[in-house]
Amino acid sequence: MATDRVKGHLDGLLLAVLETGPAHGYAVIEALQQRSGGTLDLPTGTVYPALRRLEDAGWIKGVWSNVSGRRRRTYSLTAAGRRALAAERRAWSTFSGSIGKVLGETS
Amino acid sequence: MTSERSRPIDDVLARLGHRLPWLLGSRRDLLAEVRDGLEDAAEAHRRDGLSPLAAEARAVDELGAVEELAAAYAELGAARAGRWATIALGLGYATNLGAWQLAGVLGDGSVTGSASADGGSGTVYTLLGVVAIAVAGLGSLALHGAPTRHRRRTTASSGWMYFVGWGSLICAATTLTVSYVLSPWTLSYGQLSTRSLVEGFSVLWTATMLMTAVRCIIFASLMSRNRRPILDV
Repeated sequence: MATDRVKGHLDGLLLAVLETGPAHGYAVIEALQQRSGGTLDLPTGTVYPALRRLEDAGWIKGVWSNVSGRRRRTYSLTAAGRRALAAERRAWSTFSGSIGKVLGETS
Repeated sequence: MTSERSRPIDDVLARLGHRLPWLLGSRRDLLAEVRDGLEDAAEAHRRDGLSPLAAEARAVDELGAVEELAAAYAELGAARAGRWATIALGLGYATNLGAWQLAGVLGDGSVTGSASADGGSGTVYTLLGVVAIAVAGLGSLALHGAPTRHRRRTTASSGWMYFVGWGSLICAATTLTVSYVLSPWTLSYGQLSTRSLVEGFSVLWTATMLMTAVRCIIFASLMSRNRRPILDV
């Protein structure tokens, strides 16, 4: 899937992945690929800054740990993040419904 | 270019580190996180049968352009700088004006805190306070978004960053100028009076406001120069 189609929805996608449980950066990337059936093949470098941005917004919380001698940051969804995800889902439902109506008329 | 002995992951992290803004406070943490992800990806590719070097090269390739990653981190730093600048400006000015008023109420003879005192500087400070709080309020709404947390903004625009940065700088610079021209600071270390405490607080606050303003302007300029990240969400 073209990366520009994901534009505007990455926040919601990341929050949805973290809804299932805490995960570190690469695990989030893997989950995105698996849950999309491999169609969401984003440059992995887009995910790390996005996770930090969501953390700054208070939607997710990151903690450092040491795994096999490597520093690892694991993120989990906050209560504010759950509310943000619910809002994202509502917005997506409205948006996709509107687009579907228009496309449906011409097909 | 990757030399014969260098690891692709080390190379890309060196290039990223070189491109990250020096003002970004958490550079080491950001690089450690990207390294962890790259090592995980390389490990997955090794399990799929690639040689160690090819696995690292694949992981680095999947990372995308270093320039875009650095730009995304710069934008992250800019959003933080903008938030701190609005806090320093709004909260700093409000508490500073409050401290002078309180010092006046507490009856220190040298502190009036009124608009008519100190050759008119009180009026100027009050006007500056109104301007500062207005700039901070507008900037805060633009950079933070609506007060409800699920409607918060997660990105910053360089235009609003300039607005907050220059607004803070002008307010701080005017405060310093007015202080020296109309009622010079008389910070004395020998005697501990209400006035010296409030003046000390003012000095600290003005210095903080200047620093956060300059930081905000630098980040705004970096944002204007950088190409927008591929997924600027």
